[in-house]
Amino acid sequence: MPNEDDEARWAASMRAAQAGDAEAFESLLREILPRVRAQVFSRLGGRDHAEDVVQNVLLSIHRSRHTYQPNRRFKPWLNAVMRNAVIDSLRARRHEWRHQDFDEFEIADEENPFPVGNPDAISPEFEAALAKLPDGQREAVEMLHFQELSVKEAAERSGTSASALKVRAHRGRARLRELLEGRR
Amino acid sequence: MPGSTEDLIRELSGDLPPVRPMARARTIAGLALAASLPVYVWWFGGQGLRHQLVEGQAPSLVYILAALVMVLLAAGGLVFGLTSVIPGRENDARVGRRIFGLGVGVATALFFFQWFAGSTALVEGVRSSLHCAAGALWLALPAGIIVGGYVLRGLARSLPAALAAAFTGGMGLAAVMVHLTCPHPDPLHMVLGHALAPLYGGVASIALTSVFAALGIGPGSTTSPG
Repeated sequence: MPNEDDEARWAASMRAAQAGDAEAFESLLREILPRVRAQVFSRLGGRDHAEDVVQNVLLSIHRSRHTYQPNRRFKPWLNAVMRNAVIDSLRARRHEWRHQDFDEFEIADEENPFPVGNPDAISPEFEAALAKLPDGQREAVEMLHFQELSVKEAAERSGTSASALKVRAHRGRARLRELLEGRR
Repeated sequence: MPGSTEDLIRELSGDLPPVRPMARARTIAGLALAASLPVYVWWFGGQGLRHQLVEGQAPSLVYILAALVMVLLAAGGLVFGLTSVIPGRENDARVGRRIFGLGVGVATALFFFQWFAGSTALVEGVRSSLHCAAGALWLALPAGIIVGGYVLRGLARSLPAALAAAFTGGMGLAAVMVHLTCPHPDPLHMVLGHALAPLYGGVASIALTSVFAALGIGPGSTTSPG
């Protein structure tokens, strides 16, 4: 069980993470991981996809870190994010069971503006922007959007987890949008 | 630790841009009120205080109940809308939802009571209420923009519900201003044009959110990643 020291340390780490301190965020994720695992496994009863859900919780913490208010306690925030992510993961799982092409749906759902599997539609500007991406992000975008691999296949090919691959693809797409819109 | 989760932690913390934490809900409510004050003052300058109040006449029961509805909708809507998008504030959101529900309940009962009491035909009541409802909508715009922006930035379990509640709350405050200035004595007008006006804002925001969602515009309401 976490104690008050944990609460103060985790809250401080999250405040530092909000300010962009990557080390503090990494340390926070490692510290809360056993708690996340315990919660997820107790909810799912150790099913085979429980570790995927744990990873989705970590992704949710990353994406919603701006909603932690520094003047409030950290643990209720963490518990709520965890609970919501577990519920969403279970819903997504049910959806996956109903739709065989879940991976494709998930990609389309992220408002992907890029031409899927149609290299002829790629402009020189797009190619130039793609070339500017870090290797991992470019590889993820290419595999998912041009080679039309599923997330699972792309993750296997690149030797990483599906969640990590999705993070890379998400960042790659965001960076591409910025480059194509001339923001940077 | 399995390798894939280890990879993910490294990925997530590898490129970590700073983020601005969400402000306190009460700060946003105060900001919405402050931003609305100039338009409230402008409205009061143009309309003046309801002459019955100036003359010291005792307000009718419907007038008081209509004011109560607006206060309940404003308080409940703002509390629910602003806290439901912050993880860990579920208890506050629940309180806001109950206050909001009470407001809706009283408003509904008041409407049916006045409708069946039949002092004014419904069509005529609706027609005479349009001006006040539209006034409340315009007065609510500054607050609506501020609370709407806050809700969109937060983590809503149900974006349409959170937006509708927040807009209803903003319109509740504006409707109070309309209620204090409108000299119309008809009870059905007070219910349709003042007490129910915040709910029109909520319904309109749900309709707009649904249209945007159908068009694939705007953020999703789910917290699920990827």
